[in-house]
Amino acid sequence: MGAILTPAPMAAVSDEPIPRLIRRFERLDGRLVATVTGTGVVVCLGFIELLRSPLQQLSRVTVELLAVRALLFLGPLLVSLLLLLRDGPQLLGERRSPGTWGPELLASGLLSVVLLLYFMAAVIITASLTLNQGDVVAEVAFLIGQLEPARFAAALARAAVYGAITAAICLQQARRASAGPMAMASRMSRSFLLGLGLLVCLDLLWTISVDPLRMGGR
Amino acid sequence: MTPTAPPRRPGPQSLVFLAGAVGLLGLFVLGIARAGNWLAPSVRLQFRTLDAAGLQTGMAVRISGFAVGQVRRILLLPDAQVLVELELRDPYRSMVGRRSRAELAQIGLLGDSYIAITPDPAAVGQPPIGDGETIVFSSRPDLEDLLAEVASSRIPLQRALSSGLSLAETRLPRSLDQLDQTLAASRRLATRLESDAQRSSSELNRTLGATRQLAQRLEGRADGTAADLSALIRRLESTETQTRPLLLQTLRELTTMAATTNRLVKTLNESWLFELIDRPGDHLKDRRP
Repeated sequence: MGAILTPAPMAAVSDEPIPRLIRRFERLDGRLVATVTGTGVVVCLGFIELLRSPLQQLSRVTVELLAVRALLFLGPLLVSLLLLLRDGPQLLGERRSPGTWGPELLASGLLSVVLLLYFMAAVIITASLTLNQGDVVAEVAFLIGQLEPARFAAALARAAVYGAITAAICLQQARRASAGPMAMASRMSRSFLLGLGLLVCLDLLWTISVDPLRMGGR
Repeated sequence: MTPTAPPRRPGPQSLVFLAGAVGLLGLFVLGIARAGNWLAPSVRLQFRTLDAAGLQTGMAVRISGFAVGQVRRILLLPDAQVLVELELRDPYRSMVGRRSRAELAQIGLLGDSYIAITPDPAAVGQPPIGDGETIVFSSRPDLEDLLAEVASSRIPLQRALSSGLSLAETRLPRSLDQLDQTLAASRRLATRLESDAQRSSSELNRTLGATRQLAQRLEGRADGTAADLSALIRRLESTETQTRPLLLQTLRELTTMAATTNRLVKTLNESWLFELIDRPGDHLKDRRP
């Protein structure tokens, strides 16, 4: 996590939207993608182990589907929090008025979607390899086919919204007029706690409010 | 005022990861589209029911147990009926006709529910069913009704069982005794039949032996008779050979003798002696003056 918490260099930055977008996308590097995919692998393995050992779910297909669908639901929350940990210090270092937050919110939303795609790829491949019975490619195609379009689109939309919300929290915290390393750490901590609480509440609201029948639940 | 950095493009690593994300998105969309048969042509059918229990969007539609589509939409209409829209893959469209029925079925006792469509054999060769047409839905018997039927049939079943038990208690021992007696009698009969069969078989063996000897004797005599007959025939043939020239000569002589006799009779017949015998006065008449 040390790599993720590395503060962004305080270089001279442009106020134009496009360079700000590009600057944010430059943060999409191997370490971030590796962190996200590693998280997907570990969470998926843990979930499969939970389903197989204590819950005694013996059906291979059931275990795989439960793992993939559960992590499709949890994925937006996890990748948004990882993105908050990664880009939070950089966003907290910039003081901008709320009217100019657009590029940051857009970039965070898009990055969150990108990270969710890597996360889901890691989850599906891990589930296929863990309970594989020979044909990995067919197993991967089967699991992808079991992703319901409505839920998949909703997960992407939620990832975009959650990413934008975490960026907004960081930018809002950056407007507090206090300086120094302790103030930075405090703002980071507060941003993380706020983001975590808000995203969990939003997930709860989503779970309660969305009609499973309309989501095309099978 | 902070100096502004010149605009630049994202690094190659970021571009690679962005392209990877786009590729993954395309892969996911393609996989979902392939599983959902978005790329294959399909036809939409619908049916109405009064109860949406057990129906779910996305559940499979099967013909003869084979997955041919899925449930696309379930709507509650203003008249409280439930409209269910099915998506049927185009290659299987010709199996469904206007006499096809849809019903809610289940794989096994605990398996997934699905919509089963009965095929319409009359639809083969006919124009295929149209897009958006309605088929008939027949609901399966409710589990509560089945349980009620089972409960109502429990008392008669119990009565039948109790009467069957009492019958078995009273009649079964007697029947078993009779069966034992019958078995003992059958055993005695079998023993007697076995001894009779042994006797009969020995007599039969003797009869067969005598018959065989008689046949051998007859065969020997027949051989002797055949040899005698052959010798007799040979003798007759030789006799016939020897007597044939004599017979021919005799016949020739007889023929010659007959011809000679004929000539003699003719000569005599024409002679005056016979005329004299026939008309004794005629020859004197001619001589009288």
